[in-house]
Amino acid sequence: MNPSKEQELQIDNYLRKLRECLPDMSVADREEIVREISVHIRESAQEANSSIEEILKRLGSAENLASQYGHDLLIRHASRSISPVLILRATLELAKRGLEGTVLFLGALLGYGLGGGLVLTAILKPIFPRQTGLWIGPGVFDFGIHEPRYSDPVHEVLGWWYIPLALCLGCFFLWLTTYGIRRFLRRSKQRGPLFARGQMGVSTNAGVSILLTSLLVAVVCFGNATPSFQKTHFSSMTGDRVAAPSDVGQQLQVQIHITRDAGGGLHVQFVFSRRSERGCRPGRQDGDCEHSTRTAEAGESSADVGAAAERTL
Amino acid sequence: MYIAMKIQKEPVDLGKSQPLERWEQQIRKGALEMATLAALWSGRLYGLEIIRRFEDSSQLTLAEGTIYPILGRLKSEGLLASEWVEAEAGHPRKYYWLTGAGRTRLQQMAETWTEFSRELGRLLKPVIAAQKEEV
Repeated sequence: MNPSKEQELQIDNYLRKLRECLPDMSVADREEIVREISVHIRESAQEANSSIEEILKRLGSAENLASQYGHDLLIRHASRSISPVLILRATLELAKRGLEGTVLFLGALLGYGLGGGLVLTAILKPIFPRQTGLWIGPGVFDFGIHEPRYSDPVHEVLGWWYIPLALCLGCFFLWLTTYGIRRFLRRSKQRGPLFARGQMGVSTNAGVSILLTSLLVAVVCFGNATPSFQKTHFSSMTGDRVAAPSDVGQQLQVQIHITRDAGGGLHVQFVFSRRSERGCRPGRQDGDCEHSTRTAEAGESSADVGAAAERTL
Repeated sequence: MYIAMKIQKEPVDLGKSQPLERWEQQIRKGALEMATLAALWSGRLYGLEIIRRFEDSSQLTLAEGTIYPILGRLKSEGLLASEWVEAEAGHPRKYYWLTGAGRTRLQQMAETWTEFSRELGRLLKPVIAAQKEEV
């Protein structure tokens, strides 16, 4: 049966939509796809008991059909590319299809974030020399760029060596992420059709490895920053309980000691330390630090005590 | 392949749960690439012929549009080759056939699939026996 004018219009509309929705590809490739689908529709229409509506329905929507070509093309290009944008787009596409894809996408995001971040800090080191570096001390291993927040015994250890080291490490993470994802995409391409959900089997290891490596490095690098610093820094304080320190103004540091006497009464003692440029360790008297200790009177607020201590210092 | 075909030939149970339907869909999708290569084992075919072959021999029902991106991908991987051929009556058709690499890949796939289905069949034997007893 030859299609009527109205049916021809339906076919043309379908093919036009398909052409519009197909991803970026050469004109020849695009036209070959459209031609093949066009032949399919017209051949199917010649079979008995086939209406154009049914044929188009069986074919699936033009958008859906185009997206299948798009997914394949994107993954094919990404598996050969070194562009982080293309690789992230491909992994995001896989993330929409299942858990393994999501793991891969997060791994890529973390790997590129870490690598890119390191390279960026290496570039920024000459501009912000005091804010960029690697700080090491008891319980502290922190690198990157931020306002100076550490004092003795935590020190920045690399100096200008930070630049080559961060560059090398950053490039290594960028390479590792790109290599791992590309390897995964190539293997998946060889193995499964359309990356159907739940079919990522063995090569998932590549994505998981990248994610775990990146997570491990991120935890090692960033997980031990400020909280551990405070914990280590103040663990030697005396008293029944030592509350977390807080800042009064920019330079004044305050610790709150809560002790219980023999009669069961509570004593709240505030130790104020004015930090010098190098910083100071509360409880230690040296040239860099000034300390003032006050015990709160009944009915006196912490703000009153703080104001009095600041006046003293 | 035997297991896949058997699954496809089962009438669709409308009372099937959604996870079961999704699982079936995954199996079909998973087998589609191999089925496409297998359809071309005995000679060259064009897209619509492959779809009709699925319907006739394995009832591997699918959205018909699904087959074309798969053919394109298999071709780009060098497993298939294609050519437009003018038909005597009607429209030119794009015929596909297996390349040497495609034949080797299909043989490897068939080997893996046979081994896998044999082991799975052994595992499922008591379940199927129990079902028969119930009937």
